[in-house]
Amino acid sequence: MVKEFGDKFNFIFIYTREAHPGEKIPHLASFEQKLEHAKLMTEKYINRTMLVDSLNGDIHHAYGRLPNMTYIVNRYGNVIYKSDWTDPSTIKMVLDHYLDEREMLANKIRATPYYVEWQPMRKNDSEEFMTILLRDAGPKAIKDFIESQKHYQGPVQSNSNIGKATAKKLEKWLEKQDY
Amino acid sequence: MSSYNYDTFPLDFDMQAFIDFPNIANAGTKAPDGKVCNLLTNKWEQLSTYWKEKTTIIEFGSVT
Repeated sequence: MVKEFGDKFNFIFIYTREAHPGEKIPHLASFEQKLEHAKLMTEKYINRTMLVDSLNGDIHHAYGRLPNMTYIVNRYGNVIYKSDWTDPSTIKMVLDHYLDEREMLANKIRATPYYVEWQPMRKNDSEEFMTILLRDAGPKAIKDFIESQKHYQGPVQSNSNIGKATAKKLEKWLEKQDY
Repeated sequence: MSSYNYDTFPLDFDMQAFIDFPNIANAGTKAPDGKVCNLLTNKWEQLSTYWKEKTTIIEFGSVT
């Protein structure tokens, strides 16, 4: 997406905190360590401008402190999109729409803002996520996550047994892993 | 260690953050501004520097 839209938009990544600390990637105890983790991300995953939040997450708090959020902010400093999960296909849709809006305005077509709410669904592959987490963070991260799932009530749109069912499935998966 | 940078993934992973999210930095409102450290230059800069230049996609995350 950066290749397709990089000349029209700034793409930045803000490193926040470790959501699932483990043996290999522990929790953050200093800002120097935070810089090291962010550096690791640029080496392994992120090809955008990497910005690092303060150790206590001042910017992260201001935007809602969820682990994988995305916001889009226009040149006037107004939020035009926010999502509690980063989904490339949705972001592309929004950027395409934004460029259409710019074209309308450039052509002196009258445009007016409107409000929309939407609750799409995304693929949630727990085993794929666990595989990456086991490799990158270590078994502690996975065991902590499974334990927390047992207490998870789920978002408002889901049923309240979703956490326990997920935890059971993940425990079976972990038993089969060689680590 | 602060509770923000927890060592163990919390049993009740910050559900309040999910509850609060629909009411924080909403579309049509001013985006929160503040200082962040640019990893490449190791200098602190205003987040707004980016959106003043171009409309900006801001992704949040971590290694794990």
